[in-house]
Amino acid sequence: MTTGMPGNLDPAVPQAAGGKWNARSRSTPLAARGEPMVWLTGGALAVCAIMVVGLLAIVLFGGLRTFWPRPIELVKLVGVGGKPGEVFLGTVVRTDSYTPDPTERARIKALAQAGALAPDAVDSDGLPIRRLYRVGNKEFREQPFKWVPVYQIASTSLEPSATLLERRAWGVWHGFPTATVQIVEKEVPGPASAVVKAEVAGGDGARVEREVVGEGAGGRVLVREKRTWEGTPEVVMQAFLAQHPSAVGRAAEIARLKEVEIGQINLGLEAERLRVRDAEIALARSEFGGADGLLGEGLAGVVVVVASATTALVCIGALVARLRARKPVEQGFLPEPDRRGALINALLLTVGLGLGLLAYAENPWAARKVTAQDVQAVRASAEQEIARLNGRYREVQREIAQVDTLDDQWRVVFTEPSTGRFAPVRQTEPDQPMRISAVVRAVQPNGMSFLGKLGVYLSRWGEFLFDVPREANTEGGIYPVIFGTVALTILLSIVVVPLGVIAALYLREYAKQGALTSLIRIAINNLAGVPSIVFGVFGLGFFVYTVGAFVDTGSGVLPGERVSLLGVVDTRQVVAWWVGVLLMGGLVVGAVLMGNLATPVPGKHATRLQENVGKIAFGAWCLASLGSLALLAYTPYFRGFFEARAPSPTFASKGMLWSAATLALLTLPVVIVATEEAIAAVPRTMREGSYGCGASKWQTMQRIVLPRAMPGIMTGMILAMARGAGEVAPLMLVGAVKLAESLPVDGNVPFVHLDRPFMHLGFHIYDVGFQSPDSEAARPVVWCTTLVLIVVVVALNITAIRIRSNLRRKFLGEAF
Amino acid sequence: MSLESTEQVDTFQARREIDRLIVHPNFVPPTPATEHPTMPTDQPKQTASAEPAAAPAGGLTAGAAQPPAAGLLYPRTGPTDFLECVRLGHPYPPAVHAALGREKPLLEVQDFSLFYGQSRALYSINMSIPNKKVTAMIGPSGCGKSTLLRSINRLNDLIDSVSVTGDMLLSGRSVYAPNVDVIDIRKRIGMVFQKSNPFPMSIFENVVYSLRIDGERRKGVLEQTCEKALRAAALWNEVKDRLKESALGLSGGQQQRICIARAIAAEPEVLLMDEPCSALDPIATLKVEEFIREIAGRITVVIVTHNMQQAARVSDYTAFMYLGRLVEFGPTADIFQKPKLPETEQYVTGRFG
Repeated sequence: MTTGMPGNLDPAVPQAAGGKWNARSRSTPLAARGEPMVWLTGGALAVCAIMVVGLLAIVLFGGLRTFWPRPIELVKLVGVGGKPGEVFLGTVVRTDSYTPDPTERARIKALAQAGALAPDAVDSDGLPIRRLYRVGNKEFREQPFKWVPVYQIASTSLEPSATLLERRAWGVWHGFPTATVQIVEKEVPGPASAVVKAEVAGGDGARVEREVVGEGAGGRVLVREKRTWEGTPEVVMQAFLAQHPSAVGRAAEIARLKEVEIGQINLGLEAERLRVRDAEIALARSEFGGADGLLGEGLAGVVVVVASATTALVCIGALVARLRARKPVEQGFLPEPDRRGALINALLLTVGLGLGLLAYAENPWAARKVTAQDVQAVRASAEQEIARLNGRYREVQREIAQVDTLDDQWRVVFTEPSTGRFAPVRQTEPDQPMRISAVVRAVQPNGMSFLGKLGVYLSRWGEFLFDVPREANTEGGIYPVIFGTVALTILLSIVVVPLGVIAALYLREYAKQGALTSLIRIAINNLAGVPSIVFGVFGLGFFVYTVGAFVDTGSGVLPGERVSLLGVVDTRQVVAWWVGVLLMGGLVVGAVLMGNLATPVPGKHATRLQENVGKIAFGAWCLASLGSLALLAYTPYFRGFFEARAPSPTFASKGMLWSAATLALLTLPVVIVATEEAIAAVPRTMREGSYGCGASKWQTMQRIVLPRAMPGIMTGMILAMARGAGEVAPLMLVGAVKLAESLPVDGNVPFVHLDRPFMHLGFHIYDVGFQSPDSEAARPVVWCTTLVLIVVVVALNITAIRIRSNLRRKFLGEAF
Repeated sequence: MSLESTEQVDTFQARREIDRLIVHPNFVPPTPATEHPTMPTDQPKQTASAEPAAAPAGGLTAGAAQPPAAGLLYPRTGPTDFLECVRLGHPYPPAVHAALGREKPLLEVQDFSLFYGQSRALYSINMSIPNKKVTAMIGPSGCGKSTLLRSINRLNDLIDSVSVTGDMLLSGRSVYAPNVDVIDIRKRIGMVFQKSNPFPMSIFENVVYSLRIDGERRKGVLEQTCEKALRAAALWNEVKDRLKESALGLSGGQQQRICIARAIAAEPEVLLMDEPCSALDPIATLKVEEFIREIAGRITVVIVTHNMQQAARVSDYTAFMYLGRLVEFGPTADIFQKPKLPETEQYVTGRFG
């Protein structure tokens, strides 16, 4: 491309050999202009954008169209071999072409030659087209979905009275409204032979059938009277719609009685059982123990008094010393650091705390005598309460039966075309029509206006968002699922943000930057790359089986066993534990002392000795924290918070708390990295300004660095929330279930139940879409759940982003 | 790592000993001729660059055991050829005007050296900052004036690689003694930085920050202090109606005056100003200078500036520093009009630097 200048303009400059006196070219090559790179980068961005937008568009399209009412076709099939073809009602779900087998191919060919093949029966390649009809009516059909080749269809028509019933059980029913029915059992004057079997009632035009089912009192007979109101589909539909709201009200009342009232009774029964069990455990412990009696109680009492007094004195002393130290000595210059005094203080505090611990663990009240009479009293009162609850239970059952009897009277007949079968009350009684209350929604889409369809659409979305699932999650709503997901995400951020921020603060502000901090950073970053299922396995093994079991039943001492130095089943265990406590106390004192010694004079470098002592002190702290954890885990005194419930697990099973903890671990790197960067981005001048005002390091961090870094921390939280909300694999192991009986938050004490398993949108998609027996029926739920998951994640993110932009405005100021 | 630092400390100790021998003002070498062999002088250069009339009679480049020059507070001992000192990495005996002897010192810098890792930034500085006067520090970039200023409230402690020898005495008490509470030192010293650094909070909270961190909660006290400090910084009329707004929304000059108000709110003994006007326009600069003139006589001000006119306008005393050494220190008028050393003369007349 090196073309020299066209001519030598300056005669004073001689033309160089080869004419290359001007190496620079006047023309710019394409590569230098950068246009190819613009196209390349722009193209890459376009590909990414198309993929993301395409995914969102597919989800939006699939999710939003699902609930729109589709026309119900009355399909008549071509008869085969002289028999009339099948007639059914159904909605088209999908249409595609398929490869027929040879005989079918021959038949299609023959039809085509005869000119009897509909134009839409084959596609452009000559392959036959088939439609998937959703036909429902599961009681009488093997498959609620039916593939029908178009060439087999004789005719389709859209009957305005074709009705789609969404039912509480057994899926959808397609049929025509034929009649409403009332079935009443009542006593009429006898004898049985005098009962009129069938008549047409005068007033309301009902056809009445009577059947004697038993004998009543005083020679009267018990008769089941069935009143049927038949009519045109429009009339029947109107009658049905008029009765439907009250029927739905009855169903809701029955559900409320069953869930709320009986649920309360069950809770009460469980509470009584636990009360009795607690009393029994206390009795057993009291009988085991050797600490009761004069010697044991006396000794324990002395220990308590001495320990409490020592602890109180030491604490008061430390407080006084602290207050005196706050007062400026000689205008703010502290005297020589009193290292010996500090050591004595630390020793005294350790001894005091140790004695306090001893007193607490060995306290004489633990040996309080519980007698068999006490337990008997508890048992008696519990029995009384249980009897009361059982009485209440029978009462509620009666109420339920009452409503149920009333509900059972009102029936409706929706008949299939041609077969004349109608939706039965239950599969075993195909001759009895279904209850009106079994219908959730009846839709006649064929004659419906746009507004009517919109109403159905919105009502379906309302049900989906605010109702519980039914039919193995393939119908109904996903309210508990949304609730579980949002609750989990909030809990997750409550756990992960403080943890990550504190870790990042130490790592960036306090820790001396070196090989160890680099190693920790590498480890944290690698944590982000570990497959999430590994976190799930860890969460199950550590949180659920180890920590959960510890919370439930402590360190494995048998229920009722009394642990004490004085009267104990295995003294060695207790003594060994106390030796461990002593060792840890010594280690902590030593670590404090060594840390004190290792701190160099300000403005001077640490000596070699100080550095080494510092390393030993760090090691001692590590050892002490590990040891303290071990002491905590192996304390023989702790018997768990749910001893009475054993062996059924409380926290030692799948639950929300452990899921949040597992996801917190999973998202910790995100928060730590974001926070570290945010802290590092706080300008140096700002910190120096704060230090210059006399602020301590902590004050600077608390008042300047953290507020200033808050938007960055929020970014980390947003990323963590987005990742946590969309995670499925670990949740399958530690918390998410197919169907949770109750929400993690409800009106029963303690209101928030973190031990309960929950439902989760991501897991719901997997479970309904891939673990469901009828994947075709579950398809709508999967689409809509995916849409809701995306909406929930976006909503959570938008909330966090709004908070962040507020903080930005507040802390970062206007742009200059 | 530990081996290195041990060696480092030893090096510092050794250097400090040498420094003591060379420049300690009260140190009179017993046999100067043998202790400090006379430095080879660079007579032609000196005479070529310096005004002969301005050079004190005594000879600038004389070696050790030089008689005290007229008007100096104490004799300049040790080698006095600046370039030779720089070449050898030695400190330099400054020319401190006798006028300083009549002032009551508030801050005494004693033999103060500072190292960034192995490289030395300050060479055994000895100076006394007079009480309730404005002291300006001038010198070319990188001469260590900001470093010295930041050493007074120990802000350099925040940099890991920094180590110091020598000491400073604030009101007669050590700043660098091992048992000193750094925070307490800083509470007695206010500081204004080169680039304005208001905190991300309201104007009011910015000004009363020092009181807040001391745990002051009484609203009346806070409001009174805020108003007083803002009035002193000539900002009250501009911001009194928007005290609750973010300080980051103010203009550059206002932000710098917020920082000044913040620095004086806690009534410090010393106010350190590190090129406070370098990012301000002339009008804002004027306001800051007016402020300095206003408080002069009430608190001690140490100001670092590149602007010699500014130093001449606002300060009572001026110290000239060059390459980590204090060269000359005296009343501002004397430094600018009749300096004792040719280096100072050359710098203030703009011939180098």
